Amino acid sequence: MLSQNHDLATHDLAAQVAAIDIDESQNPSSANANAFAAWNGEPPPTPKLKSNGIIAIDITGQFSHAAQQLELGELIKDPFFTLFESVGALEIMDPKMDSGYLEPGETMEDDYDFSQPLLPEEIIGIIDQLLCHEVAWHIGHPLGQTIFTSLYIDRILDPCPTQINQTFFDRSETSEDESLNFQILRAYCLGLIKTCSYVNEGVKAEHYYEEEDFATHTFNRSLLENIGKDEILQLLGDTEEQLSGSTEMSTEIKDALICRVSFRKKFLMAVEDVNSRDSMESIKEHWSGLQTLLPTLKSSATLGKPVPGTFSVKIQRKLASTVPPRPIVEISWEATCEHLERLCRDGSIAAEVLKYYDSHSLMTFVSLFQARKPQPSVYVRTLLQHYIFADMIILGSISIRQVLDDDLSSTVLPANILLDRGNDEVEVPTDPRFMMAAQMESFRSQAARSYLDILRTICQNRCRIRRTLCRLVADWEVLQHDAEEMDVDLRQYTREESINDPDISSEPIYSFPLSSWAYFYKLRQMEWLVQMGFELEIYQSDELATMYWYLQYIAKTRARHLERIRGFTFRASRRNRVPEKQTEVINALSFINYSTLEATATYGFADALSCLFTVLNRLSLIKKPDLPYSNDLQRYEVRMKPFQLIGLPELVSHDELSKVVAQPEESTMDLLKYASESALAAKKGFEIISKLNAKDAYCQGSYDSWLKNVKDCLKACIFTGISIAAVKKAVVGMKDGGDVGIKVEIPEIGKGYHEWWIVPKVVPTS
Amino acid sequence: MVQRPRVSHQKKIKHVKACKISVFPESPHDHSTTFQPSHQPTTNTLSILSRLTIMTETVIIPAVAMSSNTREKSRPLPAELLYIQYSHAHEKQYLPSIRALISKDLSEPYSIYVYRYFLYQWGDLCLMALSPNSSPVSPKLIGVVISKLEPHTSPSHSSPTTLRGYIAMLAVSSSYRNHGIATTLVRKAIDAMVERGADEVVLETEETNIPAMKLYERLGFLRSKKLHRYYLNGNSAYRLVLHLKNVGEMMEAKELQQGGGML
Repeated sequence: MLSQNHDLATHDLAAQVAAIDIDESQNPSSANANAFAAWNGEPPPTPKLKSNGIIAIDITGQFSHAAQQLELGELIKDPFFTLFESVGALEIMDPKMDSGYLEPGETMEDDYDFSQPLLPEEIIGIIDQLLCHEVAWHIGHPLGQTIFTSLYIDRILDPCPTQINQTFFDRSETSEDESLNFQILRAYCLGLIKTCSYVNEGVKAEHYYEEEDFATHTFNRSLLENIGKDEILQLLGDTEEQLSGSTEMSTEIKDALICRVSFRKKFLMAVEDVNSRDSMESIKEHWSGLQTLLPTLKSSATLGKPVPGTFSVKIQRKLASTVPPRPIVEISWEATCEHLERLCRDGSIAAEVLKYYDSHSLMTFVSLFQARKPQPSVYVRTLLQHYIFADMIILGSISIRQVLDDDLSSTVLPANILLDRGNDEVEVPTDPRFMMAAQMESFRSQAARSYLDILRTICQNRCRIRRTLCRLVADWEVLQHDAEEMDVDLRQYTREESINDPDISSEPIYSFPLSSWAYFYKLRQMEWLVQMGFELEIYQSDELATMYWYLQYIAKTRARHLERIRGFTFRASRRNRVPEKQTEVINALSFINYSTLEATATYGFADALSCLFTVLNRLSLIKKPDLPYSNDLQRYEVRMKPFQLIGLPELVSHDELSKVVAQPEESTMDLLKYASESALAAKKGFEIISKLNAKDAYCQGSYDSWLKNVKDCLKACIFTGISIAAVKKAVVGMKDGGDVGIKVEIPEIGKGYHEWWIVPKVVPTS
Repeated sequence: MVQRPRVSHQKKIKHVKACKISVFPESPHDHSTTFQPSHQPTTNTLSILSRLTIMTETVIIPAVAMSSNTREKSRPLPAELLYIQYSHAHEKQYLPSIRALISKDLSEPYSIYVYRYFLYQWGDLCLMALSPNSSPVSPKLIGVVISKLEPHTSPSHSSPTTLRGYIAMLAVSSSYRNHGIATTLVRKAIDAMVERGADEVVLETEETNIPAMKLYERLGFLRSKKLHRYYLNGNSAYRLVLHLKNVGEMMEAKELQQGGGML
């Protein structure tokens, strides 16, 4: 509390404060006097200290006295006051931190005359600047630094209007005497704010990371909640019509303005209507309709005349904010148009998820859609989540149970009695079918969460996908364990016959369908986790041999696991000869085949790269840091932390891992030979995959992106073969103890053929 | 007139995320004619540091060896740089220049409280590089590293509580970059952490700050995760981690401490 404050509660305290020995000459300083200019020379009044049951005591005096005892820079703090809190501390009188600080002569607010007329060119300029701000907000910047910096927007929102006729910029105006120019701007601003309101609510309803992905904070301002969308659409429509009939401006300018008003109208209609999951076509029409306006919008921007004076950084002072004013975010017109084009395109594609084919195709769709570069914006990503998850009804028409049963049936339980809906009808508790239904329901309630978590996770930003996968694999480890117990328990009802094969095991072998399913997904996620590490450039080049080895280890484990599942499915198919049930079995076998093929190509390719990087490490073409503070084991422990909690597949110990990666007993030439064989096998695998149709590749609804993805893998694989050959040639030509004559370049992410496959480029040094 | 809050009171930390690291380390193949700062062996750092501290107090300034014709490109380094552990007594002389050096690259400055939070509690883990030839009486600050060391428990309790060092800020004055000053500062900070039994050291660095990332990776740090749009400017960051002990040793130390506590 400032010592200038003479308005103390009692004379007593005033006397006490007066008695405190404070050097009056330093107070008030000239800077302080300036700061209070905004308060007309009066310091802010003391807050009223009144509350039932609380006796307020002014401790200003004691506090000032105690503070005098401290040395400059001495710190007294509660042990719970952490760095977190300390970073939030602000300094009064620092212009970058103190939102009320005024430079000499500066006023608290902008002095803008809202009655001054604007040229049509200026309207275009302001509208285009607002559009840039809107996109900046979509990208993740707060409203306070973007749209809310517009004086016209501020004029509409403060004080909060309850009716549309309270939104005139010039308060003396009515709808009769408002100029057309002002009407255009007002209608546009109203439409813009309402659009933002829909977008904001849409994002908030789904999973996203506040401030990291998007800033939903409206600084305590209502985004026109009191004014209906239809009223605003009406105004936009009327304005469009009046503009068409206007003779006051050139056709060029008129068309540019009509385009902007029409764009806003369509955008506002779109942001509400695209939430409906009833018709994929209607959503696509909204986005394509908006997209057709973009070329005209983009090219006509040259007609506009910017009016920078209608945007102000100062408005942030009026906002209920926790942070000091920050600079206005500037985004170029080109970037704005590009973002809008992408929004229309991505929004339209996202709607295609609504057509459900099968659970695997759904997952393929989501993961490929999210892998688009640049990644679809947060708004589109939340739209996609809305389409998939809203109201706990998948894609608006399928129950979670249905999706889960589809998935179980097409991997581990085709035509299986455990998924027989007839079990639900049985009411006799002693009936095994009753017990199966109950057990399966219990399994579903646990598995559904984990299964939907995968889909939800893939909808997040790329960094979060990887971070969340670290947690998800641990969840699936638990699910797999619990499912194993259920599998054992369920056998008493299904009367599953064991396989007895002394070649494999002396114990009877059972299928363990539910835990098999959980294990399969856990392995998929472990692969993604490693692959996302490549994409996000988490690994240093000297780690690549190890990480590709780990990828092939997991992928190979998946292939073997699928082999086991296939065996049981095959046996089941021979027992079950009912024709309609056969389709289910064939479908499951088809999925197992596809996944096996994909796992095989992955481990072949990863193996080839691992061997190649091992050779590059041996030849010192990739340098390893000195490690003055740590050793390989400690680095291994950092890197393998996400897998520490996984019981199966077993974490490969550091000693073992170093050995299998470095393969000291193999000659360099043998390693290269093995690498090129693996790359060749992987290449064949990708070629076979690329020839599959959408149904067999479980990518219905996203075939084109899927094919591009496979072809990119194929290209990366071919390029790996070339690099291996180049290294081989150099090694053959190497003289004893001589230089190998090549160097390697690791392409930056985004510059290679595929982000999950980092292929070194070999360049001769001479 | 309506009274409005002058200063934001509510803390909103997610925004002002930790601290930006600004660093420009030496190029590995720099064989220029300028003097290199001496890389002290890591083993006897503490004694060196205490000696250096005494040196400034008694103002023993090493001779400046510099010919005028080497003043061409980047500023040549003085014969000997002083690396000094911060202590509270330095506040008046050096805190303003520490702030100035670090906030140069920040869009939003940290309050003096943030600096004092570190410097007052972990002055021994904060090191300054001083150039004695600028002024014999008050050597000029040309680089600084600010860190802390505290027990850390992961929110999910999935891993043991560790004694975790955190390098919060690192800066070297632009005209003195590419001479290994930042590396020396970081090494001295880590040495001091090792001396105090640290299990691990972590930090965040901006994804675009390649020199900083290289500096830390040369010292054995690994990227453990990427943090999307971590900084106010919208840039992402990497979390970098250096384990100073094996996980087994960290657990043992923990058990010993707990056992001791029970006696």
